Amino acid sequence: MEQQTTNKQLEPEMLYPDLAYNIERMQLEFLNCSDIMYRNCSIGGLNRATLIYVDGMCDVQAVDEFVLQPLIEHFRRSSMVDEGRAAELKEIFIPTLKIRIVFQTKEVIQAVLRGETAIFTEGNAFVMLADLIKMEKRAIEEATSEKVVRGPRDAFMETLRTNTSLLRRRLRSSKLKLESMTLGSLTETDIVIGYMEGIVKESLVKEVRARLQKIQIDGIIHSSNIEEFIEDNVFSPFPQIQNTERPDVAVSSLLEGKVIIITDNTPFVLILPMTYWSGLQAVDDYSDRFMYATFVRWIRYTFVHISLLLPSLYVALTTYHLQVIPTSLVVSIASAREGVPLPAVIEALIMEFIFEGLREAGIRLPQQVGPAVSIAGALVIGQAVVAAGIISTPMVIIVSLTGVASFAFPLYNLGTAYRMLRFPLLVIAGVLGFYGIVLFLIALSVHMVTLKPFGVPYMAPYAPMSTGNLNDVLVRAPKPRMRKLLPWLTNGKSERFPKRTK
Amino acid sequence: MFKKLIVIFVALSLVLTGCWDRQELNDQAIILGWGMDLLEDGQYLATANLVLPLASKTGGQQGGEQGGRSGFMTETAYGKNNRDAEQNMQRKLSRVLFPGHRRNIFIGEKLAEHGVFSILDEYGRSPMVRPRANIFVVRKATAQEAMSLAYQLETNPAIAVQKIQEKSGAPISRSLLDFFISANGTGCGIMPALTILPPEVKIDKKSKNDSPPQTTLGIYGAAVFNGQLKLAGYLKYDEYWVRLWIANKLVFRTFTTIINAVDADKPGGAVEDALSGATSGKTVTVSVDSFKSDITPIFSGALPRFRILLEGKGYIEENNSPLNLSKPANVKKVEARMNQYLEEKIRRVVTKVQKDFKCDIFGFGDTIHHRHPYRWKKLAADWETIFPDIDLDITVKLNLTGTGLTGESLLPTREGGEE
Repeated sequence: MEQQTTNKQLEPEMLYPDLAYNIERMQLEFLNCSDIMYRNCSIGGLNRATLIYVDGMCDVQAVDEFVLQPLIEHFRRSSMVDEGRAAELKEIFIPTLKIRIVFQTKEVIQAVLRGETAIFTEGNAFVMLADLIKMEKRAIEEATSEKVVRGPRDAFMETLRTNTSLLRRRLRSSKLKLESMTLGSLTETDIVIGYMEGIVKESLVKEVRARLQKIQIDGIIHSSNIEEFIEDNVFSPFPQIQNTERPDVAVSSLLEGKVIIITDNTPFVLILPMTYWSGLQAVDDYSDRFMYATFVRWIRYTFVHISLLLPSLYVALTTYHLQVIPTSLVVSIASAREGVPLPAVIEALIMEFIFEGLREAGIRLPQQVGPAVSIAGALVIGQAVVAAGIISTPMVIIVSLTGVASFAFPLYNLGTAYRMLRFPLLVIAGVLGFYGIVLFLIALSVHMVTLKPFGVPYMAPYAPMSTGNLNDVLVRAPKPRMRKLLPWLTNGKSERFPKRTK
Repeated sequence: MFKKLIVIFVALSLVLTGCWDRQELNDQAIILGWGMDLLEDGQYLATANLVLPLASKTGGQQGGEQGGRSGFMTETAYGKNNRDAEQNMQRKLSRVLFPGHRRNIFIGEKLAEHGVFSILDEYGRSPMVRPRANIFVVRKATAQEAMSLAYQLETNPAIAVQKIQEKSGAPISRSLLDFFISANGTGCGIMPALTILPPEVKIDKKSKNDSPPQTTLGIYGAAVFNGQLKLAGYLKYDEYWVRLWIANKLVFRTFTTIINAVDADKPGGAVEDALSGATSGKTVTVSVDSFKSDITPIFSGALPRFRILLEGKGYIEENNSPLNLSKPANVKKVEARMNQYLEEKIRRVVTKVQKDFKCDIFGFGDTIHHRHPYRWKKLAADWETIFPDIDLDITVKLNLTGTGLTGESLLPTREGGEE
């Protein structure tokens, strides 16, 4: 025993041929972990083996069938002290696809926690790990945050492998590379970097890999945890990494030369780099007929501006630039505002504030009380406040229109950016009028043009202008016309398909 | 640190350049109309038509019963000029006068006769006044009288006159601008003239709900101002369009003329026959909605001549004459008769302007200015004396493109018509 102790001190990571000792160490490591199971089985009378697994994470039936039974039957009469039989053990007697041999305690612990079954055998200084993981998972469901009328209904889910399989199903090409890595010192979350070899710029992949490797964190819980670590400009209201729930969006991004990051336990896949316009392109744009898609896209662009500008424009117009409004409209606004005690800015701020609060409350609500709050909210905003003479009717119209407009964004976090920017803009409009709005917009455009997530201009292909790529920005051209790829993203290959010759 | 301070100061200087004139809507008295009258003692009397926001608020609680309150109020003040009167008016008002929506400016006849030069300066100078405003002369009355009338169709007489002017075929909302332009061009000005019209027939109000015709505002025509911007005279409503057509500003107009009843439809009847010996009651009305005017100055000798080609496109809207309009030849007859009628009419009006007002309100001088700038330099100084004597060669070319919905009348028998 003494020798063993010294050995333990010398090489704490290594396993020993002594089964009892190994098991003891494991038990020490997993002290108070009630979900770790130990199964002893006697082999050939003397020799023994112990299986360690996490309850609920392994396929018990498979372990029974492919590990336990062969072990017991084939080694009923033989001894396993012989080192040379290790290969035999692995290759022949345990008939399962995913089995490997490790020699270090740390690896065993990690593997067990991942759900693999560790097979400790007497007299062998190694452990066999059978990957018979079977975790509870939900079925593939429809995407909740990106609904479509026409298009595939499947969405990413929490399991990493399912997600990669969803991609592979759509992209049967060996060019689709899925590099895996682990992040988080405690969570050990699996992460996969996906990209299309031959389309993507190698430097981009290298950059993404490097940035991911730099992350020193104890835990990655969502993909959004990664997002802020690798973003270029965290202090920007605009998202620079797109996220999607939809495999088809991920695939089309891959084909554009973008890189995706799949995180285990998150149904949201990150797509990077993101451009502003890709945040405004909805999935339906590509399944609808192109004319309608263009039309809807323009409505969306209009609503983007409404959601940002409408309240501040209203405030600026009614308090500074009354001349601009048509006379009859001024008269009706004036009569509606008659008796309202608050200045228009404060009025707008209050209403916007209430609206955002209602929205937030609506999300957090338990489903049973949802209607109650929305009815109360609608009554309070729409009717009672006006009747009480606290808020004017036009303001209610403005705020509700703005609220509706802020939901027209295909990408949720781009919408939140604008929703938030509305407030400073409102204050500036209240202080400086049009002048302030214009100042703010100039500053905003300067900021947006300066953004360069992963070296790709955020406003590309509009600024800097890349004329060949405009047919998917302001309009959605028919698919045969959308040939070009963004030059910032791609590596030499700048076209989706060769030009048709008649 | 120092750098940061500099950045902040630069940013603040950018932001604090004086745009702090926030004025809540509830603190503004919106002026819709502004009137100026001259009093005997040389003082001006300003009248403002203000929006009453409380009155136009027809809230659910108050209901329609109290809707009798008119949507405007009239306020007046004396003053030495526009701004002075405005300031004096302010002392009676709880809200700041806001002239940004002053679309209509009324001028009393007295003031117009005295000359509008003294009051128009503010309208060009103040940033609050829109150049696309309407300016009117109130004929035989003061601006205040016109502005105090409750115009029933609109909430406010100031809005009403502007709409009336638009509906009578004049260009929309620009008579102030036009006045400035023509006053700077040929030196003469023209602006629409209003008049207060008592009802043609007076009917007493017998019960509460009766609505007999009331005294109202109407367009009289145009007021012509001479070189000193003093009122030279009026063009009547039926003469006003001549000026608009020649100045290429007429939008639409219907013309009615009498057509001979007797030889109208005879097979061999020439155009001239249809026009001779016309008797009353047999009328044709043509609606024209596309006007064109082309003025060409011709120099031969000392005085310039003008060739004026007036074109129009329209259709026949009413035909009480026995002419059978399903025959194209008869439409031609109407066309010819119309041209003749319009030419006579236009010539009369132009002569009136030349001889009586001696004001070039048609912009003939401007066409010389545009086409022969060097000759204009010599003529400009004496234009006022030259204008009354220049020769005008007026041609009207009306093109009738249709006869309305039917060729012949829907009425079966027609007195004096073809058997």
